[in-house]
Amino acid sequence: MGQINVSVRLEGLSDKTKFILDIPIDTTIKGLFDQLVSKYGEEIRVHLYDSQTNELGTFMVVLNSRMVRLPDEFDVVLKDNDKAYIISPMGGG
Amino acid sequence: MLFKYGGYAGKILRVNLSKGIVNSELLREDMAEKYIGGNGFGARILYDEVPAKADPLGAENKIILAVGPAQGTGIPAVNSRTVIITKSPLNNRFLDSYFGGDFGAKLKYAGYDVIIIEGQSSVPVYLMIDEDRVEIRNASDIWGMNTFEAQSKLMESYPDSSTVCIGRAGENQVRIACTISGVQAAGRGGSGAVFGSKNLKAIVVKGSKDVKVPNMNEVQIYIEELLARIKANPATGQALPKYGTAAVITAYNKIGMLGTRNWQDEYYDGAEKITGTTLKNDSFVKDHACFGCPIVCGKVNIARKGEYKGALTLGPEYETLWAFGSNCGNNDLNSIIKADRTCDDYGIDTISAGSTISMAMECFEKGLISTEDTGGLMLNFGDYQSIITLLELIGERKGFGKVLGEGTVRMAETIGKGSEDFAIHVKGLEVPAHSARGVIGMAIGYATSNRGGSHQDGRPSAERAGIVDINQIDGKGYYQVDVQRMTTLGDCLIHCRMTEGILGLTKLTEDHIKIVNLVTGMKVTIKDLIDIADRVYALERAFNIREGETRADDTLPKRFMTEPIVSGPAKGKYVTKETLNKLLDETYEKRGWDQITGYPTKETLDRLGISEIIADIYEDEKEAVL
Repeated sequence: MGQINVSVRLEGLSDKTKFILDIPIDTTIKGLFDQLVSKYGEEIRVHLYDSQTNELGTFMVVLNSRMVRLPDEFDVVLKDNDKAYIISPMGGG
Repeated sequence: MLFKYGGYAGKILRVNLSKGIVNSELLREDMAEKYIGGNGFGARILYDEVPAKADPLGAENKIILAVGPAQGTGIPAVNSRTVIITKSPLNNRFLDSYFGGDFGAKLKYAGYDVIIIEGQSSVPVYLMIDEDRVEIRNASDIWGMNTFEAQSKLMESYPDSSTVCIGRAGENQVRIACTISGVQAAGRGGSGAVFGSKNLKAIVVKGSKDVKVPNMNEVQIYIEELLARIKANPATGQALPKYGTAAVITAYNKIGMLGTRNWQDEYYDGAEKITGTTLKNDSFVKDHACFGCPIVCGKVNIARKGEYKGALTLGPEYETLWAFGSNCGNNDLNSIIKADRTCDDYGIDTISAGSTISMAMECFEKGLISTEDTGGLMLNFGDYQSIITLLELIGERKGFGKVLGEGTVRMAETIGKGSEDFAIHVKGLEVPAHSARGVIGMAIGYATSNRGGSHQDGRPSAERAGIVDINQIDGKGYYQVDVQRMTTLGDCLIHCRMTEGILGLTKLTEDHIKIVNLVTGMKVTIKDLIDIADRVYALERAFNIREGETRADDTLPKRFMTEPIVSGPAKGKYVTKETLNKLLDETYEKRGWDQITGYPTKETLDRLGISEIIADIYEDEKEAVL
């Protein structure tokens, strides 16, 4: 099975902020989340899913400068060299 | 005598600074039933007691500090915030401004739900509240001090107390002056100037009274449940405790909605140097939490190098990173830390200060002002040393700072030459760091905010997180009314915005009902809470209508409605007049406001149980009363 290379940046979430992943062709956004959780375990899962309800957390996903609405766009398919940002949306002042 | 409902102290403290007297009054039960607390109490009292056209910096204006029933109960999210309500000297409208820390809980422990400050003292004073012992004391030894120095001195005299205080900006009645409690600000609208106009330097409060609730076991169970939910939630359990709010710089910039160079653009190519990650890596010192809060979103940072090395501050939060960063074309992080600290020292609103300075920078670059106007200061975008100098001048109300400290609208009147096109405000209050051109719900939220350019009535959060379609226009007026109902009721309870994702991001929920009923013993329904929120919002609106507000004021800065975003992912976006009108129509329809005037209709006011104010805003009813 062919692979694509995707970079993921986490902003305002975890201590680890940069990930470069080789993932199968046709991986979706949901699949990317699954890959991250599979590879990095609880360290990443707690930032994506509510640990009590397992529901998706509140955060912003930007794929190549386009905002991706979740879970509506979970099935968006990633391409080689895509850049994804997962960002805390909590503002304040 | 015990108050009928739980959570309340049942008392209002009234302080007349002109006469030098203090009185304790009983809180009326119907105030709790119709307005819940916090913002609701303040809205009703300000409407009743401050007459139309009163000078915000005169003796007729009042300062109201209030808490809700849940302050001091230990329930996370609603345990300790306080609201300051007054007539804003910046835009002559209703103002509610909130601060965290521990003042709210201690006010309740001292035995009060509300403080009303009226009149003007002839000499500098501070108010000392130690339960039933309340004194107006001479403040000559702390007048002239910055906020931290003054509060430190007060804490030496009153250990275990909490303080709220103004700095030199408030003393000098700078219209964008704020109040500071500990290290946290009630930032918006110029409450510090109102304190200064009354010669009131600070309020000190301490107390140890219990807060009674109908069933402490049930409250304790809810506290534990809420704590577990907060911990399990990725935003409140992970992101905010680690990074605070600074990550939003990246969030907005990645989608091209980060105000840049006075909103001339919304994509900042220097953003990487002022992100939350950069701040944490380069400047983080330690965490800071409000009283009893498990989230710990406050981050203390220090400038570690450069000419501002050693500057220490709580923050800068997202709004301040934008205000003195991208919107001033400045990506020198250490200078933003210094600017944040300078504002806190003087007691200056960082949002209005940053907006006013960025407007001055645009005027300078376009030749509308020169070094002759600025006292020799170069004001090109990115001139961060000028930002710091200007903040000091604003605080001292000297030189060009005297012009800036009046806010963008008055500054435009002073400069002239078409500079009003660069004043980015709504109803005279500078717009904060959330794109109206990009976040359409925020656009209608700004336009219909009773405060003016505030992101605390309407909210951008759900659209920014992708939970609600950021590009959808149809229905956003209806949607934002639900959001405003949540924020209004939330401000009566005074819950922290950081817990929106827990209590309800886009509308009132079972959690709001539960908090009210558990704490007070009332048996409210969602409909009751919606009515309370609508009643409070209508009162605020009526306060502004008495000042002359109409539908025409529910608008946006010219730039947002005529200049498309220049570059970046959101290039081309702006809000057309047609879009704004459509969303206003939706809002008025859902709220029961007149489509032509924007006034709450007589039927709406009657339905909300405040028909007594109809004659104040409808001419024909005035004649009927006469």
